[in-house]
Amino acid sequence: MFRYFLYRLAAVIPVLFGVSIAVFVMVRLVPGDPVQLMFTNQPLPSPARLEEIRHQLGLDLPIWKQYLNYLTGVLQGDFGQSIRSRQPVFEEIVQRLPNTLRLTFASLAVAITVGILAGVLSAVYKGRWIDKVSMVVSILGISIPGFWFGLMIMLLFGVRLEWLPVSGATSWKHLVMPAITLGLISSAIIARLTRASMLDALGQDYVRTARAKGLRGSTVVTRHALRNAFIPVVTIIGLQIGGLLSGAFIIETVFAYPGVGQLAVTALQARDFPVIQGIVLMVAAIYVCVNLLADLVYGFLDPRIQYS
Amino acid sequence: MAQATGAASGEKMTLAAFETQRQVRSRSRIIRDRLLANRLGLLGGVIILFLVFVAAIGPLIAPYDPLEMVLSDQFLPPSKEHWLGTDDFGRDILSRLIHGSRQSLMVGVVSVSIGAVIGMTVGLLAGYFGGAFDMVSQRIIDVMLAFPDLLLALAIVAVLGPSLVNVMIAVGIGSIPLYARLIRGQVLSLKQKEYVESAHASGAKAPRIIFVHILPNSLSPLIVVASLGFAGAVLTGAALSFIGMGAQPPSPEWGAMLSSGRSYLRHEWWIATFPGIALAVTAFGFNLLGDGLRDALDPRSLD
Repeated sequence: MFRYFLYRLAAVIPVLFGVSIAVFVMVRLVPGDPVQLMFTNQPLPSPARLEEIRHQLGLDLPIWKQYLNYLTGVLQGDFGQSIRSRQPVFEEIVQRLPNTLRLTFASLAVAITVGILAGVLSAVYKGRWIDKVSMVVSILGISIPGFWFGLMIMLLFGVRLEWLPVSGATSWKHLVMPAITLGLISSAIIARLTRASMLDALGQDYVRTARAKGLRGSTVVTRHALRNAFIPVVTIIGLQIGGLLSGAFIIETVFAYPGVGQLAVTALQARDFPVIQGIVLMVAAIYVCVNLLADLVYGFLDPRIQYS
Repeated sequence: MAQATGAASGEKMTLAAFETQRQVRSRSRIIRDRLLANRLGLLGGVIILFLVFVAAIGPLIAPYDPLEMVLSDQFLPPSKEHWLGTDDFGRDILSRLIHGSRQSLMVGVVSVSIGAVIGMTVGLLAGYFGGAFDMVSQRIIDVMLAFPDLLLALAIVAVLGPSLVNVMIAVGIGSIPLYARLIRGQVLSLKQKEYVESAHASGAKAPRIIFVHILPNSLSPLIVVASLGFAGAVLTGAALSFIGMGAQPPSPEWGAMLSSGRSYLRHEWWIATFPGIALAVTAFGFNLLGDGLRDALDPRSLD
C-alpha cells in the first residue's frame, strides 16, 4: 500500500509541474502587451512608466527566469494582483473557495445518492419499467444543459412557488437549487456506471453462492454485489469532482452564487488574466489531488490491485 | 449473396476467403439489424436527421427574419403568428431557433473534427511508433487531463478571445486527449494481432499497416465516442456562449439566446425556455445515437 501511495504521489508531481508551465504559458500567449493589458479600460501611462512597471514585474527578464519567479511566487501563495479590484488574487480566491467547495460537496452528495440508488435499482430490476425509466431519465440528465435546468427550477421553485431563494449564499436554502442542478449530470453518469457495474457483479459466482446459501435478497445486493460493484464507481466519482468544480463556473453564474466560478466568469468577461490564471491553476491542482485520492481509495477497496 | 458475387466475377475463391467475406457481410448485417432493433438508438438517429434537415433548409422554412427587430412585436407570448413567441427585440423565436441550429451543429462538427483528427493522429503515431514521441505526447496529455473539460475550454477561450469560432477551437482542443488515449490504446492492442504481424512480415510499410490494417479496425469505438462527444461539444459550446465567451449578440446561437432571455425569466418565460429545449433535444439525439451505436458495434458480442 505504501509503495503504491509513493508511486502515485511521484506520478502527480510532474503533472503539477506541467500544469504550472501550461498556466504560465497561457497568459504569455494572449495577444498584446501584458503591461498594457493591465490598463484595460483605463488611460495608458507614459511609455517610461510602462517600462518601469515591466521592470518591477520582472517582465524584462529571460522567460525561464520569469517562470521561476512565477513558480516561487505561487508556492508562497503569491498569485499576483487582480487588474480589476487591485486585490491580491490569492485572497480573492480563498475568500470564495469555501462557498464553491460547499456547493461542490452538496452536489456530489446529490449525485452519489441519486446515482447509486437509480443504478442499483435498475440493475436489480433489469428490463422492468423502473430500469427503463431511470435509464431514459439518465440519458436526459446528461443531455439537458445544466444552466437551462437551473433557470427552469429557479422559475418554478424560486419565482412562482417562492419556496427557495433565487440567488446568494447566506443559508443552506441557497444551496438547494444550485446543488441539485450541478448534481444532475453527475448523478446520471454515476447511475449508468453503477448499473453496468452492478449487473456485472450480480452475474458473478459469489453472488450465486450467497443466494444459494439462502441469504436475503437485500443482503446479497448490498453486502455482496454492491461492495464489489462500487470499485469502478469510486474512480468515476473522483473524475466527477472535476466536472462539478468546473460546472460550478456556469451554475454559480446562473444563481449569482458568490463562489470561485462566479469570480472566474467575471474575470473572463473583464479579461482579468491574473485572476483567471490563479483560478485555473488552483482548480487544476485540486482536481489532480482529488484524483490521486480516488486512486488511493481504489487501491484500498480492491486488495487485488498489485502495488508494483 | 457472397457466393453469387464470387461466381459472377468468375474469380476462384478459396474457402478461407469466402468464409472471411461471409463473416464481414454477416457482421455488417448484424450491426445494421441491431441498430434497427434498438428503438432508442433509432429515435436518436431520427432526431439528428431532422436537425440536419432543418439546418440545411433553414432559411426556406423560417417564418421570419431571425435578426429583424420589430419593436412593436416585443415580448409576444406564443401564438398563431409566432408559435414560440418573440423576444425583447420583437424577433421571432422559432425563426431564430431554426437559424441557430446551424451554429449548434457547426460547433459539434468542427470541434469533434478538431479533437478526433488531431487526437487520432497523435494516438496512431504514439501507439504505433512508441519511443520519444509517445513519451512526450503522453506527458502533454497527462497535463491536459489535469484540467477538467470545461476549465480547459474556458482557459483556451480566455486566451483566444470571445467568439464562436474560438469556442469551436477550444472545445476541439479540449477533447484531443480523449481521442488520443482511445486510439493509442486500440493501436497498442491491434499491433499484437497476428494479421498485423503477418502484414509486417510480408514487408508492408508503416503507412500501409497503419491506414489499411490498424485504422479501420479501431474506428468503431471512435465513432461511438465521437457521437457522444458531439452532444458534449454542443452543450459546452452553448455554455460558453451563455457566459458571454462564445457567439455574440445578435447571433441566434442557442446558448446566447438563453443568456439574453435570462433577464426576462419572471414574466416572459418563453424567451429562455425554448432555446434550452432545442439544446436538450439535440444532445439527447446524439447521446441516444451514441448509446445505440455502442451496443450495435460492441465487438464482444459480435464474434
